[in-house]
Amino acid sequence: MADHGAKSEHSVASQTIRVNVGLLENLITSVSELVLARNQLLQISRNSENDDFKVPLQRLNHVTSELQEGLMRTRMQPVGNAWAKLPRIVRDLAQELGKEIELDMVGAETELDRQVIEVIKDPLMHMVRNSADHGLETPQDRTAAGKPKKGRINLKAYHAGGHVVIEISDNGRGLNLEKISQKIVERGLSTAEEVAQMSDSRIYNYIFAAGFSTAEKITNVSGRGVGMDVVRTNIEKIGGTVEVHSNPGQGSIFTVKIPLTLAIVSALIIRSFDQKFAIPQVSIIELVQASSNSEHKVEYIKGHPVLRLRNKLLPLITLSQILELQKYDDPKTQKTADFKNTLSQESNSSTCTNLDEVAPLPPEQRNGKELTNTDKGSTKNTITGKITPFNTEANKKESLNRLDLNQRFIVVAQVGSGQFGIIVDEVYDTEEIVVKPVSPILRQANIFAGNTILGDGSVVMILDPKGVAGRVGEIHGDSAAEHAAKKHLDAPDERRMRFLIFKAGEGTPKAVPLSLVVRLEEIETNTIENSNGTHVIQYRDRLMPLTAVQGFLDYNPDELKPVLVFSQNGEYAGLMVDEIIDIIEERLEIKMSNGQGGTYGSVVMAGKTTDLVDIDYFIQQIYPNWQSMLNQSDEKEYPVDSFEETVCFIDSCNLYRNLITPLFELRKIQPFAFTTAAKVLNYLEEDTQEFSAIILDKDSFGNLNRETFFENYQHNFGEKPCFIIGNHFKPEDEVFFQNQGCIACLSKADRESIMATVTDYLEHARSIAA
Amino acid sequence: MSAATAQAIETKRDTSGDRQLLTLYLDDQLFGLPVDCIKDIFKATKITRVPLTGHEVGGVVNLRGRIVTALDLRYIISGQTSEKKSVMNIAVEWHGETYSFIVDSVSEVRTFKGEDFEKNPSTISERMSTLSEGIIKLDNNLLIVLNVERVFSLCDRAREEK
Repeated sequence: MADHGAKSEHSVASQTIRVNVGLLENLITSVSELVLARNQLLQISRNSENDDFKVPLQRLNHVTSELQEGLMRTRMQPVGNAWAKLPRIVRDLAQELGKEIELDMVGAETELDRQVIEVIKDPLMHMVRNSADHGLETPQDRTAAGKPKKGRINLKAYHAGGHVVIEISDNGRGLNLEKISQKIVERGLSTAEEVAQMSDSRIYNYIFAAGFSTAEKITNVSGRGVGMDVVRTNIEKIGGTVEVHSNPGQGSIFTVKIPLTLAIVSALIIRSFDQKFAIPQVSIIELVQASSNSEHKVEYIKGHPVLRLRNKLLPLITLSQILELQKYDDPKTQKTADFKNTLSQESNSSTCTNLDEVAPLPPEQRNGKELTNTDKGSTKNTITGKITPFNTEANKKESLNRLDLNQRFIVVAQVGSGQFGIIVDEVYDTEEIVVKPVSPILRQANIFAGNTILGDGSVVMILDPKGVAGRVGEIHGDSAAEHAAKKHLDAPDERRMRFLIFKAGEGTPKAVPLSLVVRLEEIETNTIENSNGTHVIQYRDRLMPLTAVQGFLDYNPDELKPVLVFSQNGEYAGLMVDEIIDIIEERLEIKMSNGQGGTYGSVVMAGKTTDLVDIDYFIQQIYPNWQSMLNQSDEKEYPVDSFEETVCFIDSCNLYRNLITPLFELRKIQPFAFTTAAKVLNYLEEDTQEFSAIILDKDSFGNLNRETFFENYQHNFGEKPCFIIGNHFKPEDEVFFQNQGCIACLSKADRESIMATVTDYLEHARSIAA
Repeated sequence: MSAATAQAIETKRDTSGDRQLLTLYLDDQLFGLPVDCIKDIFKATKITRVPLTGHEVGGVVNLRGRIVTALDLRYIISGQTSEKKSVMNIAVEWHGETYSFIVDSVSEVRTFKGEDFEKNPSTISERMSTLSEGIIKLDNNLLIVLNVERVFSLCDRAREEK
């Protein structure tokens, strides 16, 4: 029927009906089941002698395929639907930025699943904006570079191997490799040495990291460092990938690869140990059969298998080991498996003598813990002496194992910008599978993307290559870290905070919440003066007293010493340290609190015990009337009469709340901080608190939909002004908020202007009331 | 047998307020599950194990085109995994998801009166007393009545501890 409609499309263009999407989805699920049932029947008939079934089964086969195809097409829409707004946006942008831009679109008729189109709409728009703002130069610069005055952005969509590829390219200046590398180091994503070793494309792909922006100035359009991260998250959410390539001076090209449809994916069926698994085809780059006498052979670096593939080293992961498949077997093999574990652990620990070397990236701690647990179990086994011939036996097993490795199949998979190989025991076939979500009870193992029923009726688990890579943090460090960082963004953890880690005096590293530190300075020790028994330096036209965690200042003349600068009511105080180590984000969990003054207790940061410094304690010694800065708790009581106004402040970002709260207090406004819009509604309904305004982060509606929020808000507190803050406002956002009666949309980057706008408004309101 | 038992559940609808229990065996111990939470009884031809999960998860099975998580009831109750791979599954629904319990064999649906129930003797293991609602004395056997809700919360706890 769908075929029919397509053929006579022009003559009967008006003969369309509107159908509920839910109905279509249900139909698709049913048809998917039908397809599976048919596959099962076909398999049975292949194995049976009975010919009577063959002919009707053949027909069933055809009809089912047609039905499936037709139904799939009902969900398809041309990708041009997602592009419709772009010419206009580009035209507006060109005017705003004073550039000449030509937008070229090819392949708008390429069809994609409706759901997919919805998801990629915003990322596409963002990438085009980016190209226009960052990529293309001004007409003057272009002529200077010998290029035509008019910049060009190309959008191209086409089918390739069961996927739709969308390319967004521009002929602008290209990405600035140097600036990105510099930023990587600055943001602590990698060290300078590591960056120097990275391939260009790897460095380019860092622009997709969270909060990464190299733009010198923040414009309306871009530069806030949230965009590309969100782009990648959205595209990966639907099983797609995004990559960037760039040629300095020639332009850059973003390649987005997305699956045709979300309902059915093609997957490679493999066997590991005695079990079948499916790996989504989209993340597989190639299959390699490794054997000891072919050009591809498995080699070992400190016990970790690697594969030399076209002159590049590819880290390898043995799937059966990652999935701990052996442990299901009878006790005998389990012991050998344990043995192998102990052995490889030993080789690990012997090669990595320095703790720093093995210290894993923080996000993988959960996995790390599990691993150590099993290790413990295995060592126990050997200690109890169930197996005595320790070395020889185990060595034999190990070498046997290595021999096996050399004849196995390797699935080369791509996660983020990195590649790794998964060693499997057998490769069967690709199959079109219907992804079904795993039941909640199995979700703790984030290694599975879902499960499905194969043609023979058996259930297989679908592996998520990202999860597999995440299991082995050290092999694929950075992308695993990014992954975790992203996860953190998805689910903001209220107790996560950023800490500045530093070294001062003897003993463990020390940490202070980064939000308290105003600046990091390096001071020349020669400039330190002594006033009334206190060490001071001149800092920004004021005297800044210095203190140190050790209780005394420990410095030599003529050296540069790092100083953490804290500020309160315009006064500065400095804490001299020996070395600034890092800035990391961690959950604030005090493991051990000691009664000593000066520290809150010990916390574990990046796998190391760290003292959380009570900075107020030290500053109060030199500054008796210093107020405690740690007024971060939401419930904290303030002397009510010292505040003239009360506002509600909603932002799910802990850091930002901490940053803005003191600014309000300075202006005698009491901020009630909340993490989500839903919470503030609940709170206000329960306790009719007098408040003058709410300041709401546009991304902190939580699970509440923003329409519902405003409906509720206007109904209950219609007259109270509402300010919206955010990192980046789309024009339609601004219109929406204006329609909801919000006073203004303010950029989160400019805290002062937020304060000014809010206080001005409140003052104005007060004067009118008076 | 499974079809017959399933039918038995259909026909023996509870009318009097007495409790109907499906009796099942694990080793030689008789257990009872309230029939109102049972959706299906089936023989799984193949159970796919799920790596990296606790022993309480037996695997996933195909129940007429739906994927159902099979829980190893023996492990949940006794802490021991099954040696012989038994295939009788009892499908139950919990929080909108269908799960199945792997058991050794399923016997019949019986109706018990309120007075047949007896509290757990204080000497039985702690694990058992959290899972069980009470004991029913039969002529030549004792039947332990399981509480489905608690079975799942025990699984949940085991998972969190991991």
